[in-house]
Amino acid sequence: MDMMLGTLDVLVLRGLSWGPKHGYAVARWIEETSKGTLTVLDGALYTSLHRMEGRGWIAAEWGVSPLGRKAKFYRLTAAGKKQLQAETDDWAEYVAAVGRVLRSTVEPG
Amino acid sequence: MEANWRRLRRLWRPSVRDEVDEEVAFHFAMRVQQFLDEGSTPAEAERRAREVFGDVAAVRDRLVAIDARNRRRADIGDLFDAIRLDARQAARALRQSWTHSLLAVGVLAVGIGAITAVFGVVNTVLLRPLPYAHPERLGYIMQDMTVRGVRDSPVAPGDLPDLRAAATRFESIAALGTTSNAPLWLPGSTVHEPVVIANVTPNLFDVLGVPAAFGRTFVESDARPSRPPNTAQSDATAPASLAADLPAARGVLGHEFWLRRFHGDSSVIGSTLIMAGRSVVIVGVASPDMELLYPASLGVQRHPDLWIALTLDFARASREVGGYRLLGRLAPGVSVDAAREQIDSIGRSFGARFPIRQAAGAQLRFEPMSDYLVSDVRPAILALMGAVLLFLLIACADVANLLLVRGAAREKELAVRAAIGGSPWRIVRQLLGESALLATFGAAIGIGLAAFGIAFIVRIAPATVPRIADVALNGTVLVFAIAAAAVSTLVFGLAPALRVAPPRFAHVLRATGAAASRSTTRFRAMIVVVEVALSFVLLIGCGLMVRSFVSLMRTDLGFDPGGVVTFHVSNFTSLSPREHEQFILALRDELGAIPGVTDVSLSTAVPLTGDRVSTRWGPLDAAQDQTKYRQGNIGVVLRGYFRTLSTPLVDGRDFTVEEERDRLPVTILSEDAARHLFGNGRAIGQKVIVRVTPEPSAYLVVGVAKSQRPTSFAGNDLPILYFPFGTTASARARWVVRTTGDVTALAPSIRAAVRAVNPTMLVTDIIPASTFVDRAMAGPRFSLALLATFAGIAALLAAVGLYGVLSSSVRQRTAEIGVRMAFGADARDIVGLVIRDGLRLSVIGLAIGVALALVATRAMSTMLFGVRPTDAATFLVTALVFIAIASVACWLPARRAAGVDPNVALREGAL
Repeated sequence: MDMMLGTLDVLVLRGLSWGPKHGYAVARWIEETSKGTLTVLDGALYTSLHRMEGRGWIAAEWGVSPLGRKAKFYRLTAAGKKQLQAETDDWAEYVAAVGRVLRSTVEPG
Repeated sequence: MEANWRRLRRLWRPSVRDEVDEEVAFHFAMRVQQFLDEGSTPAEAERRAREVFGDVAAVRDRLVAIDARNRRRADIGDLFDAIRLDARQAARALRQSWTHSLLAVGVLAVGIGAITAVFGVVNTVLLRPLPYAHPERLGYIMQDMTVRGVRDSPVAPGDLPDLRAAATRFESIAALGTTSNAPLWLPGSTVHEPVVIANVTPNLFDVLGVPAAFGRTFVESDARPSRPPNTAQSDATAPASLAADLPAARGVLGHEFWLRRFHGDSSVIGSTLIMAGRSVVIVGVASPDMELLYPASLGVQRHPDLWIALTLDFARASREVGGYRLLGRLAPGVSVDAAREQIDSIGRSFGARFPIRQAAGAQLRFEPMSDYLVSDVRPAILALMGAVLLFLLIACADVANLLLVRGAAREKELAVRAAIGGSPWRIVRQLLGESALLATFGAAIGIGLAAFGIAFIVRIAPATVPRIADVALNGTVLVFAIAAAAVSTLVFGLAPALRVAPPRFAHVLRATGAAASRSTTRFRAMIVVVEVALSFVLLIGCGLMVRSFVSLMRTDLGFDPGGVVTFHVSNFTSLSPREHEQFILALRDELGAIPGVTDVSLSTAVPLTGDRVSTRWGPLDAAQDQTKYRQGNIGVVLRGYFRTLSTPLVDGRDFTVEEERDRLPVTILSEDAARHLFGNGRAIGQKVIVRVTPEPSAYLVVGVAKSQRPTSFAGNDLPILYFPFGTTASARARWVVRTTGDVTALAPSIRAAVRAVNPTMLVTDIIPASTFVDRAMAGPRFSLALLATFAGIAALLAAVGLYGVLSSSVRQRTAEIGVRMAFGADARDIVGLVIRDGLRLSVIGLAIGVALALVATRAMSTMLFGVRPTDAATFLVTALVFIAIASVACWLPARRAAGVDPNVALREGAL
């Protein structure tokens, strides 16, 4: 299933909300938690990471991966946390609204 | 701290591309490992990793672009953060000692304001390009007569054709001459009005490269006009004209005159005016930029109201009488030296052809326009610029001193900052930040002061400075002010910053502060010595100007300007010579009848007006040996001229009624003319030959008058030979009237008198003779006013600096003074101790100042009058004045020291 535009950012923010992760870990987290339903090109994921770093939502730092390799870790900043909260709320409201419309029994017109 | 770390790290951070590559490489390694773990072959794992990534190259480029932008933004953000932080800290520090800050800002404002205002003059007068096309290719061609001591005179019109043919290094050469008070008659008008006209060769506008604003400028055929379109002559109101049968000339209106007189109506083009009886058809309106820039001493009018194309046949014109100013435009690529050389050789070839020229040492000379225009005033302006530069340096020294006083008080604060990790660089930067903030305020107020300063300078500057009225606070001057503020910041900020920044921190923290402050005091003493030295140089400059001014005031002018009014009467073109003469005699009687008027006369050489008509004259044998001719000014006068101006006749007598009426060949020599020709022998009864009429003839000397100065106090003016009115009745003469009443109230009576004799005459330039004296002194007065202001403030600053250093030294030495007093020193000893300290600094400063002044005042030599730049008396008196000022500055802290109570001092005991 393809992703709706703009939802990748909020997924990545969510993926980082447990603590610093490198890009590969975020990609694996999305694949595994969506049970392979959501397919994200790795290139798009990294573009999202770097763009959000510029916006100040996440900060990057070089560190060492659990396997001992040098990797770039991303973590949420305070602004990022606020953004995640706002986008999650928006998303919930949107889903609820769409749900209400789909479940509606009133005929249009 | 964090910001500092980031800045350091930035020095060896990897490039954006390397970082992206490393991140992507890590990702691929992880993916490939994942797929291998899921059972793929290495090749397959590699392929799948690429598949799930997308277009690797494109993504990498996109990431690099994003990161580069991020990094740039972060850097700028850091920079602004740092500046904001510095500014906030600086503002806080300055607020804490706001009296010091206010004082420093004030001193800087005066310093920056002064240098900005004077730079405004330098910029407009010396630096701004002339308003012509390629002004660097323009120059004056003038004639010198070395044997007769004449320079920069006009060139004979007959020379122009030969000169144009021979001057191959020139693109073109124009000739011009200006006249003021030319009578202009406009159609429909009942009266003439006096205007400034310029008679020019048609190519002048092209030589200068200034186009017309409307209509056209001149073309070559304007020099040979056909019969006029007969409009003016058919106008019944047109004045009678002696030159009416000449074909109409072509004219271009000056832009300002066109606006003023024709209200900017371009339909005036094509109409006909009458100038001095001759029709002039207007073909265009000149550009507002069209002006004639000449050194003031040459008497060329800058803003003609009307430009008229010369119809003179130059090929047949005189080669003997100089008459026209020449302007040349160099061909592209020709150097000034090459042009000089060619004009010089042309001048020599002319000399070879005309023996009279050779005898006079006549020579042609080329001078580049932009240099020569300001050659008279450049030294004085640069000397003033030097003076304000010294002034700004003194201001900087003063501010540095103030900062050091504060810095001493803050040594502990700074030491604490250093101890908790503030890097020395960080502290230097903070102190410089404070200085920059001071300079910013100083510059802002200084620019405001400069606006006033420029207005003041323009008001009091001599009108002889070219383009002085155009001086304004423009963009260039503002940029200069900001640059001056920036450089000042470094000068006054860096020394104290470096002085305070690397203190031996532990040492300062531990000590009572006395030791560290004392070394700062020594440093401040050095600054005070510098202040004393520089302000002494300014005081010397001021002293020399005072001496010059006094010499000027004491100069024997050869006449008494008090009670004398001068004016012009013009518009004689409709009068025959006989009528002209009758008019003048009638006007003399009419003016003499005005109540309070005691004497009336007329002269072509009224002193200090700049009016000059020169010719050659010499002993009788000059007719055979032409090298004996000298150049002199002709004063055609009415009887009673010397009495009117209160000029004593040192020998002989005034002209008689018969001599005036019958135009007898007699002359009165000025004293310098008589001395020149007859030495100590008696001139009366001797004969001289003078070229007044076309051929030189002999004149009997009947009197010798005290020398007057025709143009200026200092200029080497030519001697004057006076002739009775009628010898050459000149419309250029000025009337002089002596009254016992108020000179400023005489104008209406003068106008009424002229109207009563002939209502068509124009009366202009009613000016008291004392005004000409004032104008002649304007230059020295201007330099004196500026130098005195700067020197006065500078001396005050130096005195305050001295006072400040001694005060804090007394405060630091309280204990020592207490000990001395306990051991029997009385108040006198203590006062002596402190004053000796202060005077030692002053004397060191003075010694350096004398050395500097001996070099610096040489730049003033052209501004001085009657005093040498190294005048010993001036140096001595100035030094004594300075010592007196310094003594007062020392005496105040000395008294405080003497008032120290030894018990208190010893109890505080910080020995």
